[in-house]
Amino acid sequence: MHWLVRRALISFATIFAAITITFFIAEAEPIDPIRALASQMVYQYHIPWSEAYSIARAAAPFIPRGNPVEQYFHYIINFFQGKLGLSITVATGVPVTEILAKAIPWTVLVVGTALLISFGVGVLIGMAMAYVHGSKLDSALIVVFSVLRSIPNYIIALVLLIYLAFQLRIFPTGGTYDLAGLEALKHGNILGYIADVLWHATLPILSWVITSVGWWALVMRGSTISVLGEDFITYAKARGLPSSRITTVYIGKNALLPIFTLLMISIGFMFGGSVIIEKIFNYQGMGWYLYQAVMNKDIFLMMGAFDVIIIAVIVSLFIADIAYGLLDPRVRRGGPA
Amino acid sequence: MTLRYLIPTLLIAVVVLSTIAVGLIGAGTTVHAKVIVLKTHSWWSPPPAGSFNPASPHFINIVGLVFEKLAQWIKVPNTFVPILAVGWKYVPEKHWFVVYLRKNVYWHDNYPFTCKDVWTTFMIYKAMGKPVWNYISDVKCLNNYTVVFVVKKWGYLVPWYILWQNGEITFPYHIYGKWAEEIAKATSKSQMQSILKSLLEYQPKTLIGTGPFKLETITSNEVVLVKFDKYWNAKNVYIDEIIMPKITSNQIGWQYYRTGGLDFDIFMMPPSLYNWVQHSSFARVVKIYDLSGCALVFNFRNKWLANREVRVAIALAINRTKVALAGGVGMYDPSPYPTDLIALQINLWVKPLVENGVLNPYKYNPQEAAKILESLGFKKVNGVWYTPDGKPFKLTLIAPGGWTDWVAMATEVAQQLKNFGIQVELKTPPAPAYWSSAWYLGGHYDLALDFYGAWMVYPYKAMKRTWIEVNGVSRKVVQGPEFPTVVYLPYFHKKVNVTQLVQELASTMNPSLQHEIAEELAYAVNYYLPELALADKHLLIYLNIQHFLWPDWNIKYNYYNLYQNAGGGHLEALALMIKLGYVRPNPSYWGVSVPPLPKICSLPSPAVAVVPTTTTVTKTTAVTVTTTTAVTKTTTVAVTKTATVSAPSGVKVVTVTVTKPVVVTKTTVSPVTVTKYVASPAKVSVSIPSGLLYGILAVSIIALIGAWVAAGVAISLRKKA
Repeated sequence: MHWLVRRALISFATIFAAITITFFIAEAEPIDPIRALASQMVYQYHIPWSEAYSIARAAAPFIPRGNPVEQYFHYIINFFQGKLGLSITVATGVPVTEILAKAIPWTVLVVGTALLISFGVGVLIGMAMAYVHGSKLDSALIVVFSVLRSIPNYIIALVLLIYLAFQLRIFPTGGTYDLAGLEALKHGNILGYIADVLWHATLPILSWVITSVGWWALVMRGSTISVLGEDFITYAKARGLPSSRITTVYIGKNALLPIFTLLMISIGFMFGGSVIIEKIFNYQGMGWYLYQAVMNKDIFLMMGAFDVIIIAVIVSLFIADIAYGLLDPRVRRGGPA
Repeated sequence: MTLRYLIPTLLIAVVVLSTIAVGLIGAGTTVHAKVIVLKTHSWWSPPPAGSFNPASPHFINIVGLVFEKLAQWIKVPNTFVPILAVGWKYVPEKHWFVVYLRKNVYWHDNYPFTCKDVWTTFMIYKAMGKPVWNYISDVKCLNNYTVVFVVKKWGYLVPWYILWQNGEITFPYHIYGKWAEEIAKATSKSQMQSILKSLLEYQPKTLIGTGPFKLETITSNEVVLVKFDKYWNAKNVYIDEIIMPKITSNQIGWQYYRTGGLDFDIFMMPPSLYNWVQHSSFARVVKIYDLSGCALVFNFRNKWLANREVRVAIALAINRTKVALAGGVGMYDPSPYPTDLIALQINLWVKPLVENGVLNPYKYNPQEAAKILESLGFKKVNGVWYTPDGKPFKLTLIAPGGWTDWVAMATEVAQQLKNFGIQVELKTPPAPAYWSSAWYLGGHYDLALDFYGAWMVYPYKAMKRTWIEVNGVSRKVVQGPEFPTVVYLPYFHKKVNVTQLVQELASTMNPSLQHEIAEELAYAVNYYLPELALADKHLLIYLNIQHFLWPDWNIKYNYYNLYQNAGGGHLEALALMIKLGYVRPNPSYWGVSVPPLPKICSLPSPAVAVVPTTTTVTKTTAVTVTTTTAVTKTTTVAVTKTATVSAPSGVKVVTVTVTKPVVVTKTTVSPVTVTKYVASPAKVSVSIPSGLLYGILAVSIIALIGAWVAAGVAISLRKKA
């Protein structure tokens, strides 16, 4: 129990330190948010500077006042009250918590599903590759997965978009849902709405899956190979246990242990979404808002997004620490290192 | 459930759900026969990133289609087409700009549009600090359809700001009136700011405009608009629905182009796509001016760049044709005469300077550039230029990161200067940082890129950007304290204060004075090169000719009055064509019957449009020039002459005293002709020779007498009857 409390305190201190550092990094950026927004308007809409500046200046009442230290304490106090401030330039005047609450479910849907699929498929393929390691199939898959892993996911996203959305017109070009989905919802057709949402999520999910499945497979392959050579596997075979039991309980479980932490970190980062994929597909999740916040120097929205990622990663690691102890008796408190 | 069952189950579930989704969507799609749908791109996001509140910086401002302005500015002929206003006039005695509003206009929630809505909008604009309030002091309603703008500083730009630039009426009184009333009572800026804050926190549920289309829905991927049946010109609108997919990159836009997914748009195109579209069966491209360009700015803090001769040498060392090609084939043309005016403006405003060979085209001439540098003490060793104090001539060039065309042009400039022997380091900070005091606006560079032309054919905005300020920051900050405000113009033999000239350009209504100032300022840019205009930007309008009939762009009138308006925003140009009935469904595609488009798609004129200008009456008067000493060489003397001219009825007669420097040589023969000058801002622009003037007067008098006699005869006949 003492270990758990100590671990919780360390996690809390880490969150606090990470938020402090990111606050001052964000604050140190020498860009006036109003000017940044006005410049963007001038370029995008070709309106005169004076006009753009007067529009952007509407955000002025929402810009924090005082020196950075005062702002920081003000921010921290509000943070512990569950307030993350109001958006300055991205959605002027709208509470950041409201924006994040709307963005997170979309990101979790896309990235969570993609993570689940890529992890599941990757683990299965990785195990299979380990069994046949050294074979031609294994070598071929290593090459394929290495190539897929090294292609940036936005390239895959663009290729999918061009061929499946524009050329073949099988999937939509972007967005989270469209008019058909809204109409379905209006008429009480929940299934229709869900189907529309999934239809829109397919390409972003595929972009993630294609680029990350190989990585999970390669990691699992390495981990499985190392387990395959262990004495307890030989012993299990000698005992005449069924191969399915050896594969799942003896090999699978033990090979999964080292990549469990990676999975938990990925789950944590999942809340940050993917800036580029969400931008390509106009998918208004966390990544999309994070991009907008950074481009327009919306410090509160930026901090809010960072806070969510920091907390999610640290909480995931905390859970991983606990779960790891439960899964592997060797790392339980007092056990051998 | 063990892992081996879980994973396949999940996979199957995803596949099944996707299939169901595709099936349902397919099944749910209804084909609406003869619903005419036009597609053009948008960039808005639904709330919370976008906002239905017109005061928000992220207002979903679907200008022209959902929201309308008092008038549409036709950029190249520089005229206004009445939209929510039907006419306007200036009343100089009261300093009033009176705007007459259109009747039978309705908001999308069916409330009638009246003067109160204009008042509400301008009151909120006051709190927002919109530039129109630099020119007006109050807004009043004379009645439901007459609005008065009290002008505090009359000038050329006043109608432009009121009718068009800030003339978009977005705040209906029945929704925003309470904030407008508070603003009208506010006595301090802080009060206004707190009212504005409360206004910004208001989140309306949808857009309420007066335009031909109302918002049906907005998702993160598209905006759907439907025709508003109570629109004041609904009978001429042939489009039922507008779908606007959100496209935020050129690459995605190109995919839409190739698949015919857009009907009217304006994405930059690579040459291959441009040619492909031009040869396709369903689309065409119309090339227009963007009314802006990209210039190379010199920082006067660098002591070498503060020297005009060095700037000239750099201008001669750059091949602008290659720079323009780097920016994009067809997208940029090299500036013909670096004056910070685009070719169109040069033709309209400073043509005499071109015809008289006054402007230097700065043709690529590295040999001449080398000679200039050598004459200044620079030395070239092993292909590298060294300054007179023996150091390598090194410069830092900055360009906004992410602006691909500009970065490509900056790279080309850097490479050319390197080839010439000047070491150039190219830096590309992210665009928001670039346009901040951290980089360009703070003067942290030697060479930088900036806009010129400034999206207005009238040269005021362009010259203001060049000589006074960029994005609200003084040129003395951006280019250094040494940046000149007073310059000597050798061709005109005089010193001018460029700041004063730019301000005069903003205020004068006198066309000949406007041209004179434009010539002096453009010549000053060309001679002193505070920056070097590299290339004029063009825009390429994509038209789907399979789906719609468009006005013939080969006809000059249509090209300038309809298509050229897309420079600086394609929606307003499209909206104007739609609402005037000049975008019609192609009968062969839609199976509908529509009347054919007229050859010349003419624009309506305002019912009343009295915008006074200063009278220019040319009068030739003999002047005897007497110098205090004998003239032995070319001398400039000031000549003053007072004259009163006759004027036709309705034109105020003024006595004008003209003082003008005259260059006198031994061979100068009197009389010297002195023309123009500045009267108070009064009345109609006419330039009438004296003979014609007397003719008009005589005809007027005869007409008056005739009318008097006729009226007398009519009255007597009536009495007899």
